[in-house]
Amino acid sequence: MVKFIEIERSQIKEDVNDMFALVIKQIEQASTALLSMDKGIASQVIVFEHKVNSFELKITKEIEDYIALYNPVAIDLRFMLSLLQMTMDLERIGDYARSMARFVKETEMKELNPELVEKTQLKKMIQQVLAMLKTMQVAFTEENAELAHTIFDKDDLIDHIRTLSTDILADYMVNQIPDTSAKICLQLQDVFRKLERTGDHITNMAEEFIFYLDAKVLKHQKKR
Amino acid sequence: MNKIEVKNVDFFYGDFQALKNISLDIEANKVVAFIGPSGCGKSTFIRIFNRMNDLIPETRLKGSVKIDGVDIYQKGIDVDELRKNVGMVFQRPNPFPKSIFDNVAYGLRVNGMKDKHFIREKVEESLKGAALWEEVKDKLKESAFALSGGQQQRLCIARALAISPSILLMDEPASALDPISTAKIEELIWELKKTYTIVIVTHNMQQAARVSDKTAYFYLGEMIEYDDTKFIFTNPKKESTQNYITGRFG
Repeated sequence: MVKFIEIERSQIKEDVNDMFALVIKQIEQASTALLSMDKGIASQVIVFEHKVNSFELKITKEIEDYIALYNPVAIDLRFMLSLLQMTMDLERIGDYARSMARFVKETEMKELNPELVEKTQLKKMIQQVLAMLKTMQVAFTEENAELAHTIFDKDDLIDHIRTLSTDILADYMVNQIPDTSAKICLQLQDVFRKLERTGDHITNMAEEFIFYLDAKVLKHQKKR
Repeated sequence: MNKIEVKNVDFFYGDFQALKNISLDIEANKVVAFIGPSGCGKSTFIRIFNRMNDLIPETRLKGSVKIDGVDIYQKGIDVDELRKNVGMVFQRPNPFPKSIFDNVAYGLRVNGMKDKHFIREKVEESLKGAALWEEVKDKLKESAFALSGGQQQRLCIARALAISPSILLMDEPASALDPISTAKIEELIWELKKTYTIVIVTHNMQQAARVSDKTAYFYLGEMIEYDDTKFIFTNPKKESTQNYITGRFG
């Protein structure tokens, strides 16, 4: 590839990597805010959300220009298509971080019921989501398809925790545990759904990245 | 200040008007591409910058063309000096039937340079500038015709660089070359723009997109649109430009 086109390609990858880092930070901050019900941290997440959106617009434009100017084919075309999809996935994950922060900011509750946090495995779910995100970033940086494949197994745990959480939260609602209103339970259920969707988007990113590296379409197929 | 300023230029071959009221500015150290279908006037226009059209009988120009603020069509302009400042590379590589060294040294000698040491240094510098030095440094005495088409074209670029121009005109410099040689020329253009202002005519729209900072689209002697290449290839303002770059016409 001509050197100046290679430079543009690297620049776009670098921008996606920066967006990745920002989104990871947003999820970390939103999780910290959630587990400690810290409205200050939640506010920061909401403020920084526009940066995620700005990244999406910038990178989308860069990819549009790259495709229009350099007419990439084969692996270069797959790379640009995968970056475009991954950028959209990252933006959605950024939205979920903001939703979690909004829940913290808008609820009057001072802290989450520790027993409920324990039973629903909320911390474990958050840790798993963050581990997936960080693994995906390393796979992206190192262009490592093998590492990207490990994402799919990790997503199973997230789905499992989310399924269990529904019954546990329903039980809390029925039995009207003090300090945990039905409304809170419904909002928490939404948080679990957002975390599960985050896992789905990370899985999508892994699929897209493997499509770039190996030209394999994994969407809507069994990965294992 | 702009490197090149063109204002209200009309150009005629006899009674035929080949260019109609063209105005555009070109910044220094930028690559500007002229695109458009055959006969649109883009080659006529590029030849205005070094007054190559003067060599064709019964041609005339109206309007003003300034390089570094000086009107190059005003009385008293030394056309030979102008052409030293505005080098040109043509569609087909056209080395002289001489050695590689003598091809590059030709312009210097024609201009009276006799210092052999200076000529040697300038030849090496020009061949390096044209990204050809490593390939030919051990065979400078060999005929230029022994080089491949792509190497010959880079030799012609080196020949143009040897007389230290500040502007390079390239009239379809890669149209006769294979993809690998084309890529080398394009990479070279990218390097050369750090030092030179480059104007390129090309039929290859992808090439214009790849190498240029700005693009002008010509049709029937008119400049339809002139803008940043990114805008021309992602969101042209004129329907005619869009039809041309998308292959719907032309």
